[in-house]
Amino acid sequence: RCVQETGINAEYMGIVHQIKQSQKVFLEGQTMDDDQEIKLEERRKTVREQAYYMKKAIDTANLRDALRYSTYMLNELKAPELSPKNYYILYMQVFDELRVLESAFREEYRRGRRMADLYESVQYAQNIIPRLYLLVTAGAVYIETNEVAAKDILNDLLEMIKGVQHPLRGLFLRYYFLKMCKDKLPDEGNEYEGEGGTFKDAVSIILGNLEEMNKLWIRMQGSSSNRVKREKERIDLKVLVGENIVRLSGLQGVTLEIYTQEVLPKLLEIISSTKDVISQQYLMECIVTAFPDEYNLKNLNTLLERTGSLNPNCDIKAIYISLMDRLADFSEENKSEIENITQDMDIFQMFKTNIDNIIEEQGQTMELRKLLDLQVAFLNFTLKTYEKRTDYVNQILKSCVVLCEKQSSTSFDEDSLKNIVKLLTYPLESLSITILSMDEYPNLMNYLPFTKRKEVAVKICQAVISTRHPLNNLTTVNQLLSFIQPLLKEEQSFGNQEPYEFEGEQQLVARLVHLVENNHPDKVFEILNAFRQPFEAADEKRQFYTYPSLIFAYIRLARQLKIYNETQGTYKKAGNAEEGGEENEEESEPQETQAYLKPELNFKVVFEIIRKLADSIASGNAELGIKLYLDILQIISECDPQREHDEFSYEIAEAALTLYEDEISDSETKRVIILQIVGVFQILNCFSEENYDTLVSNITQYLSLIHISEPTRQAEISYAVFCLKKKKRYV
Amino acid sequence: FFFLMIRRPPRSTQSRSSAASDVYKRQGQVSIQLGKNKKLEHTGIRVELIGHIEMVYDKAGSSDFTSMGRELEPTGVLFQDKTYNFSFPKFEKQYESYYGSSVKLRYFLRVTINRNYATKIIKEVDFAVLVPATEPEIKKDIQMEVGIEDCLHIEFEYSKAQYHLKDVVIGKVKFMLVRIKIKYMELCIVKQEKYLTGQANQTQTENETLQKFEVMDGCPNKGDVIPIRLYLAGSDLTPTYTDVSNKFSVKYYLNLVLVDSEDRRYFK
Repeated sequence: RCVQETGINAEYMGIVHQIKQSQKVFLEGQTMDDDQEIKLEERRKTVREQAYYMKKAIDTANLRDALRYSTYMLNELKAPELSPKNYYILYMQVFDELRVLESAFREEYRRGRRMADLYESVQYAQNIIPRLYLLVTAGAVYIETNEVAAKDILNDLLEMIKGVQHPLRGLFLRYYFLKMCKDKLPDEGNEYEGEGGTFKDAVSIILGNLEEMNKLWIRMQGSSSNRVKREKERIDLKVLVGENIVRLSGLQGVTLEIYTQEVLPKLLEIISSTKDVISQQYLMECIVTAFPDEYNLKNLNTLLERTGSLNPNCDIKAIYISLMDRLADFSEENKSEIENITQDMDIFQMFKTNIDNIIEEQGQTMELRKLLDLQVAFLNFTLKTYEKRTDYVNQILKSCVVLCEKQSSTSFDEDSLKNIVKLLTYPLESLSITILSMDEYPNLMNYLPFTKRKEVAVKICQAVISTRHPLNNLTTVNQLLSFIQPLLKEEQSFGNQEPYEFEGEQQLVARLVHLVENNHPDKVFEILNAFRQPFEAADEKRQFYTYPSLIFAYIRLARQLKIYNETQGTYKKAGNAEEGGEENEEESEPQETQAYLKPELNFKVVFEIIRKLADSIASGNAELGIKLYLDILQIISECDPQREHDEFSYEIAEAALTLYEDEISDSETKRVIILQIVGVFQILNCFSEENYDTLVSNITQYLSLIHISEPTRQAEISYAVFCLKKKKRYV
Repeated sequence: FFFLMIRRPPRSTQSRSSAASDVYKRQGQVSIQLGKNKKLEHTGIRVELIGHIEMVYDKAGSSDFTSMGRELEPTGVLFQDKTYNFSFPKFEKQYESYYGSSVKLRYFLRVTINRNYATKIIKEVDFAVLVPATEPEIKKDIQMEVGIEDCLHIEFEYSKAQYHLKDVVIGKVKFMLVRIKIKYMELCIVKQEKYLTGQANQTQTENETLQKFEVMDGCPNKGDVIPIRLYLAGSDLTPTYTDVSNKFSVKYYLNLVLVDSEDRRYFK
């Protein structure tokens, strides 16, 4: 009651404060949080009550009472006991109530009250918090009337709010100031420009407010007691301070030029005026995120240097990463613009120099994974900005190798390894197989353990396959094979892998083989042999997947040879006619040429290779083996109308039939397979008459051994016999 | 049962000399209404104009500094209502009216009806006297540096040393050294009444804080400058009076007070 009747004065506050202190001691049992909740609710209730009376007074156009009740309401914002979070809640409630008062002020003006008088009369309030909140509110309305220059009122408000030096209350008051003058700053093209000021006045006012808010924010840290708690509270409030920078970035008048010459330097000055880590960190991040990427790009060198020279306890790399990520997105969306910009500025070098500096200065203390975080972001940016520059990527990889070298004594943590995987896989998307030309790539890969290397290998395969990049060069293929080693060979007995995973991996490898192509059969042969080596060295499990693929690749080669022979050594489409074949050329050139085949390459060699491969499969898997044998017979038939390889073919056919007889036990499977065999034999031309007869009679015998009750099935068998006999007649 | 009314004449009849002259004509009317009684026996009716200094806590020390009288009616009997005109042509405005807490300087008209069969009837009506002053020539400001060694050192200034009643105190406080935890700072307006007591010619002093105006909340850093803007119209002020009739003085002080976290007060 005393409070209500006389208005809180300082002395009373002092006494109340002392009473509350002793209460706190008395109520030791209650936790701080409960205490806070209760206090907050008390204050909120008072605000509600006083706001109610205030609104009633406004409704009856009683300005004096309205101001009186608003003063009581605003006194609650003294709240010395509230935590920042709770204070914010209270502040928001008061903020909403003040909107009604603001309208009332406008209404008063419309009714003829002089704003100058109103502006003066709110200053009679004895307590500073209510007085200044009322002053800012009145000031905002005063500016709207355009009777006085906007900048004059704003500067006056800015000056008077210096009276609140308490960190928490000061921050919120200045935040209120920012909110209230949001649309009242003189700016290019708005109503307050001209006599009301220019946007430069607006800039200087906001910067002034920012400087003071920064001081208050840092002051919150206080003494060394409760350091962690204070830091957390400060971080909770960072948005209040950042609002200044948001406001600055919203000014129309802040062009690239103004930003570069006036705004940015002043902001950087404010940031480096203290050594406070939280302040430096957050304000720098604000600059990166609030202003257009283009502005920051043009000022990149300054930004990077100043960031690098912040208090070493700042998370500098986070700022860099934020910057690089934003610029990466910018590059992606503004391809033409970024091209222009990169022509004028060597952005890559700027980043590289500064990042190298950071690594040098902080490399001892910063963990590897954090340094790698930085490199990953740098890589991402480089890939998006410089799309084809594999040399840049290689440089980055090299830096990483150097980092890893230093680390080799201790084992790498999981996050570092994940980062290395990222470094190796990100480039694949846009650069695909050209990564094979980066010499640092395998160096970096070596730091990964087996499983992670396998991960990368899978990604490489996927990238190559998805771009359907033809594998037409032996060197490239050899390199590729060395990269995907973990897929080809089991290095150590590592745990259990899901069967479907293994299958997926091997299928990828198998698909790689299908990408092999070259106009010159020699080259194809070389490349296939290069694949064959590791395949042969691997275990059966892998061969199950890889051999068939290889076999078919060789079969294709055989066809290519056939065509080659038919066209008498000339090959390829119309191009430049040139004499002489280049046996050792790297790429296949579209030219008509008489080329020589290496004497090693002929049908027999190919057939034998294929046969050996099939034999391996057959020994483990009869069914698949038979099918493969049949495929081989078909290609021989295609390529060898002279039946030069008759005996060879006979052996294969015999092997197939032996398998059929000995290894296939299930009668249904037998039936299906024998019919397949019959089908293939219809078209084979590679046997001599004698051999053919022998084989056909064997097959017929097998057919007769099949007893099936079902009439349709039986009919099939009979028909098969008939066909064989028919064929025989035409042989 | 008697009804006395002293009416002041309408404004237009009050003659006013120029500001420089302090001589006024004070005139008016006294109306006596008998009410229920039909007659009034008296031994004389007088009207007096009195200037009086009252010592609130020391009635004996109160005194009149000026006194003028007129006889309205000699001894007699009044049978009906009567109105008398009076005039005090040469009234010197020496001092301004002042109504303080321990001292009052009053001007009043007193009508006395003397009676020998009962106590006299007295009616007093106060009137105010203002003595406007000219604006002082010298415009001085107040600037000071105060402090406590190793604790607190401030520099403050107020725009003027002399203010009128509806003026604004504009100033600032600069903090040169802050080693204490300041809770808040306020500017107090203090009124000081000094008066002579009846006994032994001693002076008594009485201070009253008219207003406590909070100018800073929280603790500043070294180098911070805090603005002051205090509108005097918000306080109940009177002019400064020095040595009124050698009996009393009224002075005003600005008291800058800083309070620390232990509720210690530092002031100037």
